[in-house]
Amino acid sequence: MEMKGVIFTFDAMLALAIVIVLFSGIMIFNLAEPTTGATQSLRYTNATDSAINEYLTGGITKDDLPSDPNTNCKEFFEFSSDVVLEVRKCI
Amino acid sequence: MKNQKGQFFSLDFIIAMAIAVLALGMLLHFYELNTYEQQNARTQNELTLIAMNSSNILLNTNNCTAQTSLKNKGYEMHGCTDTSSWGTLTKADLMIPDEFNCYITKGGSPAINGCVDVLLANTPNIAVIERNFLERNLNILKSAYELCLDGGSCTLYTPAKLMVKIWK
Repeated sequence: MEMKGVIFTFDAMLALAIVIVLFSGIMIFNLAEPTTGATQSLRYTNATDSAINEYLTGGITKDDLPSDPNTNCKEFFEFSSDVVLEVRKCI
Repeated sequence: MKNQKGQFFSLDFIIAMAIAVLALGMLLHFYELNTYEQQNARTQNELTLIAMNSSNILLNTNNCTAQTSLKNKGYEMHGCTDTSSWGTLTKADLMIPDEFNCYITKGGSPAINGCVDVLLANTPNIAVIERNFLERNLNILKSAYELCLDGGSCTLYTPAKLMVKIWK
């Protein structure tokens, strides 16, 4: 079959396409989410500060702590599905 | 058709190559943005950790002083800070490296003589953290301490806010 005006074969173009797809794939797999560890740590510290301050000024007393730890508690913080950090205030 | 000379590439191939180049360009641009974001996050994390570390040093190494009657009972004054010695502290005391700038306030006023750097308007990365704490610069009596714990009328502590700004 005579094909005029075609300089690359179909195989060559297919190879080129595969190279581009592989290159894109490797690049995307190398992308990583920026870490947010410091921010999470800061939130945890702030929650701890609040809890200690409330304890020292009588905001939380022994009678307020229920026998069932899940009773009357409010979750302050919750993060992604992979890492869950909860700070609870129980009343 | 005999006279069609000099056509090197087919039109389809040229269009396909144009699309491929465009896609590659977009990919590189996305990669560059991601790299910039990562670098920015790393810098911000570093600044935040330095700020947190210095605030921890300030709040945890100068705990309030308990009177003997309270100390003998085994109480530790965690969560209460004596700020009377803050003024003379230096960057080194707060473990802030020399190449970093800092500005630390308590209740809006500069609290540390070694941390009164001026923040320029075009500074790209700044870490600002705020910590609420209880301040007491005098000895704590057992009766007053327990009154506060029991939820009575607590006038023992002064609620204060520490703000630490760190930048490079």
